[in-house]
Amino acid sequence: MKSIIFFIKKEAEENCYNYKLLIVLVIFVLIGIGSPLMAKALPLIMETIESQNIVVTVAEPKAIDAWMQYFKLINQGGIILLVILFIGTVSGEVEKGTLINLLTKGMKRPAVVLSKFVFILLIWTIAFLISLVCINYYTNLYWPVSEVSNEILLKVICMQWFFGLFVISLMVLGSTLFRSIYYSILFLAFCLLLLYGMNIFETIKGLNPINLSTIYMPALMGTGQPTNYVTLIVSTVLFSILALFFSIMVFNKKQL
Amino acid sequence: MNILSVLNVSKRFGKYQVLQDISFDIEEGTIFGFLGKNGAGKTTTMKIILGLLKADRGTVQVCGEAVRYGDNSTNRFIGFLPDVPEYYGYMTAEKYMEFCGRITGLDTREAKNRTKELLKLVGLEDHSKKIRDYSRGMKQRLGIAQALINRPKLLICDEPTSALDPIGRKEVLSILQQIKKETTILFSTHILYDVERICDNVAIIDKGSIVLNGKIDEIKRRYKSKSILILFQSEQQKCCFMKILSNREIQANAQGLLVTVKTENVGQTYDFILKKLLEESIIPAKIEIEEPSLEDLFIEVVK
Repeated sequence: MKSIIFFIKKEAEENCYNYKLLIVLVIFVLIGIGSPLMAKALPLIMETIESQNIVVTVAEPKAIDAWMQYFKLINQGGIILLVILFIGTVSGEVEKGTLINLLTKGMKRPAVVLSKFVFILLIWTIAFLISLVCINYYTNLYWPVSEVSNEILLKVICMQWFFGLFVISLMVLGSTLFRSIYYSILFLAFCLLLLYGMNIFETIKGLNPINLSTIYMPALMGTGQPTNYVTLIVSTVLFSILALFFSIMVFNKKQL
Repeated sequence: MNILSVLNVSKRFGKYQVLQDISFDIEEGTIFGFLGKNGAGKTTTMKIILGLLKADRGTVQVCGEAVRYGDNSTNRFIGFLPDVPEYYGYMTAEKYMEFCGRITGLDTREAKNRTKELLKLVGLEDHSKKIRDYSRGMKQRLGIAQALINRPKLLICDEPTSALDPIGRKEVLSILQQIKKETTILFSTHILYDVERICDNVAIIDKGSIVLNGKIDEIKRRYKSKSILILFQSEQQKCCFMKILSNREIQANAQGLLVTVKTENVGQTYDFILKKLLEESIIPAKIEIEEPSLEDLFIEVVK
């Protein structure tokens, strides 16, 4: 357990030195500040287009637009950024050989995988929380009266966090399975596409973790079919634990 | 007591048989030289001992405990210096050492004390620069220090001197000699001189098999010399001597005033030479039975 804590501390220091931590925080803050700003500025942007003899009708932006924009950017920007920066988390160290000195001192192999996973999860949680504070502040500033209920918002935030957890567990598995980051990215993309494809089966839709990334739209708009959030979260947690378990198994048997 | 026992270990990579039934033991308190050409299987053997690679067959025991592939628990007895040690380059030596100490379970004070002690031993106590700015020799010395942080019973060094300049090599060898009191050392190399200088026992590995194993002195005794060296004082003395040898069909090579006589029976030939030198009143500058060097043995067993 102690070695996990020291290894996480090392990860934090290392990612401060290589600016990855800073990049994540800056981008997440920008997403938090930028989403309400973009929603607010949309009519202005449209006005510029109108001046070019095209008439576009835009409804007055609301807080819900800012939140919609935010979750879209978190999925299409924030999580992808995490993947790009941390996909080589295990494979990079295996390739460089920096783990040899530690493993040959008796550090347990599962401790390496667990530390990497917990560290990225921590980054995701902290960056997500900070960006939430930003969007909440600016949305309240631009639209003091919000039509989005706190209860729904909390649910959507929760779903989004669990989607992040799922992607991170798959990312760690990909990074453990392959030495090349390109294969790891391909593996992750393949898994996510496969899960999208699985949505054609109505019966398993409610268990498919990929739906956590799109649930914010119908939930915020109050449309679509009612979803059993608890089942979806439980299945996502189970999938994540499974991916983590596989990562540990694979790393235990990896020839270094 | 044996610190390490390797028994009938075999390993194949694809169609290449890298190790073939190798067995050897290392006694506590000795320096064991693991000698072999590049690609002979030294690093593979070490990685199997460390549980980093899976042996196809055979067993390895460290301090009486069996090594299980993928499980690092026997590594608590071991310190390892890889051939090219890799570090977190943004750290200083002190920080890296303390990190290693904490990972292996030392408390803050112990990790700090041990770091200070070991950095002093390897001559890196005054360096505040980052590891990424270190020279190869400095990295190698830090490698020894990090390997010793948890007071291992067995220190495994994979070619610690191979890529170093003569000064770097001398420094590393003298550090290894100093720590012999505290730990048993398994030391792989293809530099014969290094083995002769510091090792008590040696195993020579060639094409994945152990071809020679034992105490250096015993091996040297076993592989008796087959050469006599005679250094003459003048060209005239040498020519006269060579003539005597050619009449007797004794094989000899001359290099300047130095003549090397090759023979299967050193004692008899030595007596004969002394007798002839006396008869001809030739007084050479030096005459001696050549001590077999490890290099000769190595070449003989791996050819």
